[in-house]
Amino acid sequence: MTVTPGETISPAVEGTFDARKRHRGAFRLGAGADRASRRRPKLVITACALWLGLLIVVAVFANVLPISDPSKVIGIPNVNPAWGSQFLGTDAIGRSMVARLAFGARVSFEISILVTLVAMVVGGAIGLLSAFFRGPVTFVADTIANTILSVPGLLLMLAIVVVFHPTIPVLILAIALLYLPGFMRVTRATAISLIEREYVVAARSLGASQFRIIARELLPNTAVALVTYAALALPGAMIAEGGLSYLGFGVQAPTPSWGQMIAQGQQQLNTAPWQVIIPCIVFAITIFALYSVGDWLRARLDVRGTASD
Amino acid sequence: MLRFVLRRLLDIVLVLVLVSFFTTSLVNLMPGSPAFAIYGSALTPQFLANFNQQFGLNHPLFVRYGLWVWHALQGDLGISFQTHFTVASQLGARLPVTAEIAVLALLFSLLIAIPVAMLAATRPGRLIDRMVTGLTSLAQATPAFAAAPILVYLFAVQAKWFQSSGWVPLTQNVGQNLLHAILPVATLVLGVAPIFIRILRGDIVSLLSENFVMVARSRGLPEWYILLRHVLRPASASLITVAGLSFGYLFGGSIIVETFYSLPGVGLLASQAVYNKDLPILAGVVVCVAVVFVIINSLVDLSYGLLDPRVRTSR
Repeated sequence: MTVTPGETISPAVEGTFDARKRHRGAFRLGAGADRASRRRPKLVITACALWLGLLIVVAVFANVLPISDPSKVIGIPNVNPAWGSQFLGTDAIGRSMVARLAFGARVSFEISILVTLVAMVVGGAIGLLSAFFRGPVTFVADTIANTILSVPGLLLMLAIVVVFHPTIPVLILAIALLYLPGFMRVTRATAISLIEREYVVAARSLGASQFRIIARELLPNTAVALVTYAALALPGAMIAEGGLSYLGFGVQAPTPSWGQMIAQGQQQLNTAPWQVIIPCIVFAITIFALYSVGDWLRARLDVRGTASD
Repeated sequence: MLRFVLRRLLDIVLVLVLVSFFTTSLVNLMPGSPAFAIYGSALTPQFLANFNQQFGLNHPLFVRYGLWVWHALQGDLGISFQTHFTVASQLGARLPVTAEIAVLALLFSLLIAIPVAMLAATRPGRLIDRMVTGLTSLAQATPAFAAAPILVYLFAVQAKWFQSSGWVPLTQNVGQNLLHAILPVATLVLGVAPIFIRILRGDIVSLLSENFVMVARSRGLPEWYILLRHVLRPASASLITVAGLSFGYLFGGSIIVETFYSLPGVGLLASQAVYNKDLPILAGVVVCVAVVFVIINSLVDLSYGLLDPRVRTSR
């Protein structure tokens, strides 16, 4: 319960309805109420974590699990999941929806995790260097970052896949490019605030090398900010991959992906709507779960202000 | 102030030079001539020579870049590899569609976000606030390509209220035009409005604990008056920032939305250009979008001073 400065509420009336009514202003002023409401209920977080865990297990063990080959025709096309003969039904040419979703999860997670790692390592390194050396390094890094940010992400990726055939490594590098500026700026902002700290000054006065200061003093202390931003970048990368696959410029058939399933399913929207609705819902739930778990992680790490780009 | 504007202009020019250089160099990044990518095995050596000659692909990169800039400054963005129309005419024909969709989406997002954020922010932690937070997180987690099929299924297939695709120009029939625009705009609003609501709600909650709000309350001013008069104006600074940044989302979203609803806009032009390996078209789209984006962001920066007197004095 939050009280405005200089205001006291006697414990006797604190809990009563009248007191609350009288001090409604105090409730409204509370910044504490804001924090509490932003945090999602434990149940939701747990459900999200379970969902992600399930997806990751399915994605990793998709080969071993008793599901069919995602590109094999297993029966008649357009089996409605409501008939009960085939869990989640089959698609327009009779391939198992479950298998395609499972192998699609594999592609989604593989790409988004690698994108986040690549962008984190490269962006973090550039950010640290530009915080440490300032001047020309910062200018070059900033100009490139501004250039990347001046073109909408999806359009920039299109400009890359028009030239290079969209294999998984190309997609990873193209999407990672979008998240470089963010990682760079977060790292730099944090590192600049650290450079004046006593322990960095002390290390410097003890004659530590530049490499040592960057690697041993700055890097470990920017880790929290990096991880926090990574929690935002991961679902973003997954959406980017989905969007490209949806347009047909992502991973190419026969490798299934969720975006591809949505694009193929939408042609059956009138006759077999589950073929598009199911991947849409799976996608949305997964992104929601990633954001929720990311928020929870951020609250646990308790970073103030550094993560807001 | 002058220093700031000059600095800003330098940044803009630098960014645009880099963007346009990148788009020009796409031809060099492509393995072989673009003619191979377009015509494949049907290509004869004679045709290849003509193609390279016609599109000036025999020049080295820097000469091509210089020529492109020289022509672009005169409004000539080149010729499409495929249709042989000028890029400028293609862009001009399709820009109104995208602009209409984007402006409508921005407008409706603001119209929805401002009252909803106020409603939630004045009741922090209550049921309505938690509902708003939950719904916005859910909408934020649904990308345009997943939201569009669901919207079409609900409102076009099941309810049969709207058309699921197609377009009627505004000049031809206003009513039909708006009817076709509803679902595409709704798809974009679902992506943009939640961000506005979240930012605005956070701002209003923290502004409500400021001293000037307490003073206004103690003067007995009605709550709605305080919200509109004392809170909305300072809160609008960050709202304008997000609105400016949302342009990037709106354009990215319009690529998806125009492809899904088959609207003849710039987004569809871009995705078709990628499909057809039509580099001049794609270059034109990228550079135009970058110009608009950069201008919008600079206007956003300038608007801070207009909205918040404190920024003006500190600069």
